[in-house]
Amino acid sequence: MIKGLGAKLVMRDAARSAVAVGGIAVAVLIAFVEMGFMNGVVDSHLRMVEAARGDLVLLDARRSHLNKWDEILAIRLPQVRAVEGVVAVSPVYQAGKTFRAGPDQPDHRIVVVAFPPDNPPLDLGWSADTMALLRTPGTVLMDRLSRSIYGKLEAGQDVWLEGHLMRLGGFVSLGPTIVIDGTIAMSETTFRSLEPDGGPEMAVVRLAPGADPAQVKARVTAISGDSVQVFSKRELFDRESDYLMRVAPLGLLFGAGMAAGLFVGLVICYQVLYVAIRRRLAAYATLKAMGFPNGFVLRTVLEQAWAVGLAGYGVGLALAALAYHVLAAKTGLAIELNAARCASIAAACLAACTVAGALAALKAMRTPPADLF
Amino acid sequence: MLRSCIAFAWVNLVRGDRVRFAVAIAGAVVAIFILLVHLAFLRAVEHKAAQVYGLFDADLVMVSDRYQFLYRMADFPSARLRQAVSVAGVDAAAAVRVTASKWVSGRNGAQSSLLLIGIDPDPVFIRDPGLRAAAPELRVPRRALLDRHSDPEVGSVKSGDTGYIGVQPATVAGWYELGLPMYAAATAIVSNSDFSFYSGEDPRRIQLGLLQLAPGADAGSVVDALRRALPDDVRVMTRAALMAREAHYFVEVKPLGIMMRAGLVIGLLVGAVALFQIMSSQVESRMRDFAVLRAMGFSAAYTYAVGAWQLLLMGAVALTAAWLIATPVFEIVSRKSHLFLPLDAWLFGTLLVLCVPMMASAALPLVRAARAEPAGLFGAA
Repeated sequence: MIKGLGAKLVMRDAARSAVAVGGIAVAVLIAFVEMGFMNGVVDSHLRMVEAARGDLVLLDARRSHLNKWDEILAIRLPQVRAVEGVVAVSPVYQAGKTFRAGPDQPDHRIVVVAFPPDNPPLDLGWSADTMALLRTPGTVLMDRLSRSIYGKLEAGQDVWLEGHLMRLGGFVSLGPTIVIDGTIAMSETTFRSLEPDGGPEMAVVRLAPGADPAQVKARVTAISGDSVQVFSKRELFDRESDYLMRVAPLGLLFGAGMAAGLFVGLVICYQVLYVAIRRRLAAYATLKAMGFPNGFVLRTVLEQAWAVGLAGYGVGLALAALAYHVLAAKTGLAIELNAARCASIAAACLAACTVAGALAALKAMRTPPADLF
Repeated sequence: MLRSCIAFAWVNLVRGDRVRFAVAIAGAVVAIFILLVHLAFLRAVEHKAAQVYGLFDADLVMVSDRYQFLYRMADFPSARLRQAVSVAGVDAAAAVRVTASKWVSGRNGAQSSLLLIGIDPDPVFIRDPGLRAAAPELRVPRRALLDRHSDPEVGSVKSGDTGYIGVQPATVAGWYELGLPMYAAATAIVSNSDFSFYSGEDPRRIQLGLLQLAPGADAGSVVDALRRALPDDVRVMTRAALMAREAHYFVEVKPLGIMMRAGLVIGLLVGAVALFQIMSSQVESRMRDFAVLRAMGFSAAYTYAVGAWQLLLMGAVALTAAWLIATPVFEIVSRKSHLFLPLDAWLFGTLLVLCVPMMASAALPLVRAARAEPAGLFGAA
């Protein structure tokens, strides 16, 4: 057995291999970018849930997805608070309001998110000082990651919400979604000046250490019947992902792109290997004549495929990391890499290269040695 | 000469490794399909954003100078419409009112977000045939027309059913087709005289003014005249301009434009790569044939021509296949999402234009073929 023949062949054909690596890198980049858009839409939508500082999330039963803003009946909150195992229930109000950065500036729709400023139910990426600013009535905090239509804002300036004058105390970090262009945070008290009645759109529930979430959910259902729904953060993520994938043709738009990217990787890998094999067909034929089995030929070719595939994936991943940074900044969406996503594209890349290698090896395996001399 | 050129190109393609060829063509098909999907979706979003304005027949429109987009349309005094009619060239004006409200089902009390639109049931200003037919129903008070393309919970209501708009009762008197999922779960149209009853807003203020010009009047000069005559709290523009503004908000302010354009770039890249690979391996495997041609006296230009025909033939096959696949797919998506996804001449034309750079880059391997040195390829020397 000649060890590592495949890898050596790849190194020998440096120029050709470089083309293959480059092509696979581009294919991997394409797959990552399309996946990034798809996940970006979903993850941005889930930012509010992600920000919840608690174990469970309470929603009104009519709120079948987070783009509907049905309110929880106010009485439910103290009821849930009284359930055994629950330490705190904190309301989160959400409403679309009109925002104006100055008396002569145009109006823009913004989403107001409001909650009790002490031990807030949301983590909005702020410092303790900024958080404390909410205690002053009439002070609001702007999400600095909002879309640029709101204009240049400075801490300390006046802003108008639904015609009410408020003071911009500072900034938080949340991020827009496809639907929501910008968010502004305020205390419950300040919110009441905009909306005197009405219940919260969401409540964050904190459990006592050791409390069983399933049991708490059952107790909540026993008290409030069908009027509210309780979710763990994970369950809410899943529900919202399903909703988004169903409602918008995300799979078609971005799935096709991902498939195309991987397909291109396969094609490039195949073509390069095919040409490489054909050039050395005499050598392969000699090996077979010497008695090396077809399995060896296949393995050699696969080694070449995996070598360029691995290198191509590495380069593609690096390019993707760069691209994600740029795209996240330009779209405002949550376009991020994580281990699971890298692994899934790696697996797809590996599969594509394996198929390409196997197909390319067919010719070398099928040709009887005598035909080649 | 031309016939032999095409014949040679054809032979090059179909003789040789069929599997390899099919695989690479499939890549081109996928790439062109991606271009189709992204182009069509981008247009569908622009169309959907401005669809409300498409319901009405007006040459010019008037909005508040604080107007951002449909859901939160600032208002202006209805008196501006009367002022506009007094300007030469303006024939008639009508008011449209828009606000966010809620629809409460009469059956189970379920609430849905509602975009409430108030119109004058005058057919002259209505362009959509469905709405035109249903509008006279609104002459009876407390009647509403519902959007058939609303979310299923609202869209399944039947004519004659009652529900609540806001807190006031309304009877469903008819239907129209719109579908604005990005603004509200449902939309409803009532008469302007009922609008204040349902919305609680000041009846003297409206959100959208429709203006029709006298026959022969020049839109540009009337717009200028109106801008001079009217104060700064309103803006006048053509209906097309307003629709473009609304579309611009969705495509440029929201990242849909960036995402779709990225998809187009990806499609182009993928297609270029697939076609380049085919041409490259074709040239490599037919190098001797090209050398023989040169030895026989055919010019380099002939070589390019053969290669170009190969590309064109492959492109035509890939384009046809992608178009055929897109036909049922678009039909299904269009039905489910109520998006406007026609496979028409504009789409085909734009696709062809995009395919040009794709094919051009795939033609690069031909340079090597044209340079094939006859002597160098014969024998071992």
